Amino acid sequence: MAAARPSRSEAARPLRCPSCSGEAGSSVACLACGRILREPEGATLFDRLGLSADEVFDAQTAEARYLRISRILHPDHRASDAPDIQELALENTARLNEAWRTLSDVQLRHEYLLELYAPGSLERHKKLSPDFLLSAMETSEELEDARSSGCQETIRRIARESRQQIEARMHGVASACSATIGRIARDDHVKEAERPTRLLPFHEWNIEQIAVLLHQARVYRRILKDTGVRT
Amino acid sequence: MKDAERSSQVVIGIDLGTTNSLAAIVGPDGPRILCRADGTALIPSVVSFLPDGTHVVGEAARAMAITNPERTVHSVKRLMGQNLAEVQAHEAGRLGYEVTRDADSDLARVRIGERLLTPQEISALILAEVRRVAEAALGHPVQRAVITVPAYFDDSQRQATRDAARIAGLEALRIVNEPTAAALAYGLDTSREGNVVVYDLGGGTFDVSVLKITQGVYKVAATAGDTHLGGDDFDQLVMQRILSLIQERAGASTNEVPPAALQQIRLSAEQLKCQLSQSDHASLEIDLGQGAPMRFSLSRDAFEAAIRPLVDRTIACCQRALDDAGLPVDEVDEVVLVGGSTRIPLVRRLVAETFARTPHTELDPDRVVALGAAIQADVLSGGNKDLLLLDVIPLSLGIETVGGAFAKLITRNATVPVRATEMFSTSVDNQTAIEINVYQGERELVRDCRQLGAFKLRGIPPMPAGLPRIEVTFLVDADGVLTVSAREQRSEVKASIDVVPTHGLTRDQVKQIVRDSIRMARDDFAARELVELRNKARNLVAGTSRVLAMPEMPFTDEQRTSLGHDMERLEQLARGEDVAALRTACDEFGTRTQALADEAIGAAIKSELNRERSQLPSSGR
Repeated sequence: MAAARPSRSEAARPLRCPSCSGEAGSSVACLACGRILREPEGATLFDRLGLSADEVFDAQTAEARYLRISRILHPDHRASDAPDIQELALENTARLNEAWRTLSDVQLRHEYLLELYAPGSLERHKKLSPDFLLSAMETSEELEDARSSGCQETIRRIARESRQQIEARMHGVASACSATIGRIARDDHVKEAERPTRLLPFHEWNIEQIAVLLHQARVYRRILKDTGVRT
Repeated sequence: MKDAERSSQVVIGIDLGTTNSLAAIVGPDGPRILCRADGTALIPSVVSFLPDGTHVVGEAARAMAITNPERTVHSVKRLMGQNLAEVQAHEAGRLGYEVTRDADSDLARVRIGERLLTPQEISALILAEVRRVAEAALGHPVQRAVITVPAYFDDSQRQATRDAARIAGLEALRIVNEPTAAALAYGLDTSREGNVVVYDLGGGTFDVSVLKITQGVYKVAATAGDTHLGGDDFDQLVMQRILSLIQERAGASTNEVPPAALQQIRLSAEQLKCQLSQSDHASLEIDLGQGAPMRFSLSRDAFEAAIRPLVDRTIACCQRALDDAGLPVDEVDEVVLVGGSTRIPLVRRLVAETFARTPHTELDPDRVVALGAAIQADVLSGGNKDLLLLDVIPLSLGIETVGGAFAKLITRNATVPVRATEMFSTSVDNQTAIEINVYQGERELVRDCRQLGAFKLRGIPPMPAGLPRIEVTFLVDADGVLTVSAREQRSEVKASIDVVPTHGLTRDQVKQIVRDSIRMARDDFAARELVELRNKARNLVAGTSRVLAMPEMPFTDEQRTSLGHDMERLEQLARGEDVAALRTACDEFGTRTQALADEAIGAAIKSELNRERSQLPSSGR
């Protein structure tokens, strides 16, 4: 997962196409000339879709990007190319798909963003408070009882409550992110490559808060999944 | 030359079905089915092996299901990529032929007399027939194809399909999922956008796929299914009813029903099922060859009650696919029905109820998949740049970890191609090889998942335990087929990988089968050549004898004796089997007699002229 490893320091931005020397628009393909690119070291999942990690994620724009780059890269459209190009097309389409899978999922995207700005923080702040764990455990047990007794009403209530728990946490994540990342994005005086390292210590409390909220959201996502109730 | 080039690049689409197979192509007027001269296109996916070592495929083979049941193979698709235990669990008692295993692996094999055939080889015979029909329709050879498989086929079933193509001498440019192909065929003339559900219930398999179509991109959001659920199972239920009736009337155990009668009952059950799609009541006479023919009748209500649990299972799959796609049922814009079994009214009714809309049935459910495969073939050959298919892996893929736990590396419904990397190390000093067991499935323990194979990494540089850092990459390509590669990061050594597929053929085995089939083809060729050479030898001897008999031919006695010797030898060789010796002898004799023939021609003309002048020809010619 070398290329997918979050790190903001290495890839030069904007990404240039070595072939047409225009702005490539993606780290895996040049949207200007249609050439497949060898991804530079340190490119992020955002780079693959030609998006900025610092901007608000717009699902529609991102999906349009994903499909546009897919058209350039996909092995189906490269079936008559030379074998080495076909291999690169396969490899890069897999990279592009990985980026879309992670970034189109609100939970995975925020976990990835956090790792991008503060590597290791999810692991560092994975201890959840006893109060939270106790309450989650009680909900789990209640769900298990309801499932074995077939009490649909309780199951639906737990699903509804879990959804609310998740929403509340993702809301918290979003506002904490905008306080941290949004600030970074607006701060034009800071050189791009230096932004995270300079600003992170200042916002350390926010990082911890985001990590904890994301872990908690995960716990409730699992409970919601166990209810089997459809969205 | 241009045309020859174009024809060698032509890519056809093939629907390799459980019950029927057929091919299609995109021509100047859009996709069309490749038919025989009589307009028929469906080739029954049946192969019958005759006692003389030859075989027939298609309609002729299907007709032999009754006369030659033990040597007639139907529904071989259900055996693809399966081991014997799996076949026994799913197909117990429903196949007229014997399925066994070979000595050194657990793979399912079909026993035909003394021969053990892999399902791949039998599928290859069907593919070869499809190819023949396609070539006859097109008027030029076909080498490349897009072949469809059920979306829910796992890695080993896909591999088996690819191997079958290779054995048939076809390059499978892409393995495409059947429901996705159907969506392509439906989408083409309407260029519709939105969320589409394809419900595909065929002869042996069920698939449901949820697709989102945006500006020519067909993105599969989720797929679910059952590779052992289809029309065959409905036939089986009807068959059981017929059998219990026979038991009731005859008082005999149904275990004693002979194979030929069982096949007869199977065909009757299928007929009844089809009739019940048209009318509320169906009945037919079954002649088992002993006693008076029996009349059996079945109401649609009774049939529907019998198959209801199976149809409910397909509806549960639909729910799961929607869940996985994160799509509420009211956001489904279109529902498309594919596969012969969707002609059953109950199926149509339940699907319509589930999605609260009338499903599309405009296209022939038996042909729509082949048409879609042809459209994808057109995309691959560069004829269509507007369309793009983004499909998914149907089942999660992972490895065995401590305690037999299943660690998922790639989750189901991830868009393919998809890649995952995992770090491995050694547990013993100077260990140079590691074995990784790869599984596919959704359960927590590997024993509940399907093992795809064992990947043995070799060539790890000797180092203390735990020091090597081996990065193993699992790549699932656009066909949904897995390849594994590995690299030791400290030494940059590429570890080599030996794959031992659990349910498939190794590369060497496929090569061997291809070699054997080429040798068999060569044997066929040799047999034909022998016949031709024998005729040639006979003609040479006869011709020469005639010339020698002409009184006016100026041959010396020496020449006559020598020619007589040569003719005797030629006749002797023509009675034998040595093709090469006979060929050489024919050539030599031909050269020798050429000179004599030249001489003879002059004399013969003279004599013919004389004869014509004096009398009628003495012989008939």
